[in-house]
Amino acid sequence: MQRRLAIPVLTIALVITAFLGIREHLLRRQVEIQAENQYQRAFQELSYHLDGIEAETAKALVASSPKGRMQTFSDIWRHASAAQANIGQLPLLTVPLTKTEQFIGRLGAFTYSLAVKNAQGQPITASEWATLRDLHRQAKFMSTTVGKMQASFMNEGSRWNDIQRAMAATSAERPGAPRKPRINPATKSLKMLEDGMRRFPDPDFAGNIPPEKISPRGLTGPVITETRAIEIARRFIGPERTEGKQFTVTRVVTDPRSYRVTVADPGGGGGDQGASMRVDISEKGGHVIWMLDDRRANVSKLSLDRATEIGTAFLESRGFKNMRPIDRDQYQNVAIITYVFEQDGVLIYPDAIKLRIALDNGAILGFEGSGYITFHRARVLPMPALTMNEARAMVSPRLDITSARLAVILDDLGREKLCYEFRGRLDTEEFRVYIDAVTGQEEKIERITPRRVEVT
Amino acid sequence: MRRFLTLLVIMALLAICVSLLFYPNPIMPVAISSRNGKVSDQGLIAAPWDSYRYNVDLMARVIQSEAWAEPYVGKVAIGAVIMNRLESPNFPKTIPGVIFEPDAFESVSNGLIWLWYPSADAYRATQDALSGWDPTGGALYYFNPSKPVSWWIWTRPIITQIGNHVFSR
Repeated sequence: MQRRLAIPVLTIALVITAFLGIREHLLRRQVEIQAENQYQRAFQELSYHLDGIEAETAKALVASSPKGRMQTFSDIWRHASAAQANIGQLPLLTVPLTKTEQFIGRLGAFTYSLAVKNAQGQPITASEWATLRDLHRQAKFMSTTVGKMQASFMNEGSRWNDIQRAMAATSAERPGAPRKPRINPATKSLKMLEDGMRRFPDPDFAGNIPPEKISPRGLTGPVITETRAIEIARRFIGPERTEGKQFTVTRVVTDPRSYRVTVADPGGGGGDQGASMRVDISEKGGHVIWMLDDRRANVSKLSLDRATEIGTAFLESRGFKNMRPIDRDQYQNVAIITYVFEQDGVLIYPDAIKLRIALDNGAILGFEGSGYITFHRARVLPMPALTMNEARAMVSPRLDITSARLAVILDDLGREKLCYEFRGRLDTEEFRVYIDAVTGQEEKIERITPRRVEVT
Repeated sequence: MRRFLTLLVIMALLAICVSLLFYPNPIMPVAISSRNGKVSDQGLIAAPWDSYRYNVDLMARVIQSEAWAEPYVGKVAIGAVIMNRLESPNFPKTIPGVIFEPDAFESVSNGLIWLWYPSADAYRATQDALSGWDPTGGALYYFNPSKPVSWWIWTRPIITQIGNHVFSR
């Protein structure tokens, strides 16, 4: 009797399981093929754009007319940005193509700045041509190496899915014994590409690309101790908010090296649990880099104008003089107000500080001074060679100018430029246009877009 | 009785089978429209769905699913890593490019970012990271040292630790 019951039940169960199993298998294979196709597409396109970079760089070297240069420079720039996007779509977790990607990025930035020079009618110097020649040599190596990889991919039937699996092999082991993934022909040739790119000497870009890391110029003074860091944090946040709190200090190993002072309620464990505020203070000079308070703000009672006044007063009392509010934003009962330094009536945009101010009680919930620390110093501003009216004549006649002033901004290449800032309107849109006060070049056009709209 | 039992077992198996067939696809974005009231309550944005709004939402989703159990600075830190990658020459140049880079974020790889609507804190942290707050000291990578991670991650120089995450360059 039992057996008579069991056989049909088990048969049906087996059929259902088989059905589900096959279905799952087919679905999985389909998904995997789709992923593989995406990777293959990204890789083949990468190869195409690397070839494009190589070909256009070669053509640029022999282009003699401004029009021909414009075409080749903008083509290199276009291929470079497409190649960067393609690399970002490949699973390259453990074989980061750091040098290769850096090269493509720099090549794009360099040809962009040459294209700008070309458009301004400036000559391209002999050393810039020499740099372009060096870049072409590297581009050639890159495109041929990837071309060979492509061939071996086809011949050996390598699959990106397998590479991805090999790379994602995890291990809980500590640095002493890192478990390397199985050697895979594809990862090996990727490593060869990267090593090859590393062997080329760095081309001389001579200020034609923006610096990747600007070392802070505002960090002055001697190296401070931990106790001094706590003292600075206490004074920065204010005695009324730090009374009876527990201070812990950790190190942040970066550039600039800093102390992280955590201010927590006593008995909150001292660690991150129950922590309320953190302040990063530079080792050199004891400058506050940023501060953040975990507290949420309750229902707003203060206006943005009042918050701006509170912020200005806070900055004054912490030794940041002549800071002017230029931008304000509000969300979740918190105001974010951007201040910039003003010197002799000139706004210095790079020397920026942002404050988060709670709109319930006006407490300073956050401070972000990395811009100020990076750029602020005693400056000697150049004399404008143009008068304001001469500069105004350079602005598009379609812009209805509402105000004008002098300001220092950073240009595309990260250089400080003294400019006339013209604010104006076109229909309902608001703009800021910057005209170089020394050369009269139109440096920058910004559209002011109100991004966040508070819902009440 | 026996016949009844057989029927019961078959019914149960059929029920399992049918429920498996119609099991909701885990990779389905939570409908935003039905939650619009909620978003407004968080005082976020009444702006139209332009690319900026989409980027904010995407970042908040990553922060929510990567750092929901972390202290607030730990949430800002995840946003800061995304911002640092944007500025690095070795990462894609757009926020979706950075977030959807294969194997870049665990919660993107396993679809967790689509299952959970971001909290008010996650949005707050997103805005702070977009405004320039960086608790990581310029970190490009982070990991949870108590979980198994790729061997490769240990080769990067460590900057700091916030909550359960170690941040490195």
